[in-house]
Amino acid sequence: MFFQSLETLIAKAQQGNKRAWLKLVKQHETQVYNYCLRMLSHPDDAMDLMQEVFISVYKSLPSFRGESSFNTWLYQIVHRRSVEYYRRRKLHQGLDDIPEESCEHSELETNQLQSEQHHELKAMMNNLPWEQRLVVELKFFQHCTFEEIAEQLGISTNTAKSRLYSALGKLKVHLEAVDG
Amino acid sequence: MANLDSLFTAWLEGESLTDEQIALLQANAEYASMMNNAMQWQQQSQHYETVPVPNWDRESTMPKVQKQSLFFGAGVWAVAASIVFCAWVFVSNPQQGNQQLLEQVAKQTNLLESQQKQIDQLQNIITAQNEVQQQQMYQLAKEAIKTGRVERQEDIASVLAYIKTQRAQDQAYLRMQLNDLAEQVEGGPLPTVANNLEY
Repeated sequence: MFFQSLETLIAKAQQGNKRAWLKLVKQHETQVYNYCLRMLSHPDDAMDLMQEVFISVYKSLPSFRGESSFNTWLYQIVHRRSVEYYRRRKLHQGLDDIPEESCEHSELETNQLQSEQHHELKAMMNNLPWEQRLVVELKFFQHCTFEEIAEQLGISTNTAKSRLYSALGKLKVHLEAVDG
Repeated sequence: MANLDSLFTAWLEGESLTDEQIALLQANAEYASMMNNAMQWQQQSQHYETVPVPNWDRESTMPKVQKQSLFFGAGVWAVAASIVFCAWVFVSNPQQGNQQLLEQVAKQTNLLESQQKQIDQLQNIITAQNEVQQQQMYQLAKEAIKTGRVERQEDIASVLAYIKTQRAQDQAYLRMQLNDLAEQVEGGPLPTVANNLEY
């Protein structure tokens, strides 16, 4: 009886079971955190956004009817919250302009920033406008089809495609700039 | 071109293309470039090392339950408990209940009387304290006024002494000047000489 299916956990969490909710959070926090990290590039921002996401999920959980998969539903909330977060942050400070910190990182942050691949990914992501970043995230990291992307973001399939094509074009410009 | 687009879309969607179809896409500079860039993203995705989530307060995602209502009106609960207890005493044994109630009332009356006595004593102490304080304040004020008067008298005396000294010095100076003048006019005609009399 140690294993509980996702449906059971959701049902229990909907009834206000604290343990079930915490288990549900634990099961999904890594993917949500990494999504936030890729989108925002900064561990503190990613942490804040993840917390906002789970608060939002907790509040909306009673309205989850299982019409779509929990993951799809969860990511719809993640996208909405991330867009709101990005806009809110942009009002105060351009996220793309945040300078890279050279010291005073947490151990985790340092490890992450020291990773060359993460650096490269961060640079590639930061090179893109927010909407294109979302499409890239969904296409290459969440492995969604164009239809799924369109559904998640509430846009047409053609718009999703054109955003991805633009993002791919921008990467070319970025790589050319990096190569000199 | 439309054919290339649908091929590229199919490739992006993960459909397997034949070598010929891939060659077609590679032959077009624009699509070849996009394919390369897409492969870069795919590589990033494949080699992405999942970052572990730092320790965080998962319970913070749950809004706190309002527990205030549970503790609402602790006094009300106490009163209710007393009423229930009294009712239980009456119901369980009316005679014994009456006896107990009378004892309880007597105890309460004694307690109230002793409390009243304590309150009276406290009031007396406070009144006495107030009187003592008032007397002390009066003494203090009197002392302050007296001290002020003496100081003022001393000040006036010192000012008078100073004025007297000054006056004596002025007179001496004037006398000297008059003597000088008298010496100067000694040799002159008599009508011009002033009577320089010393006080």
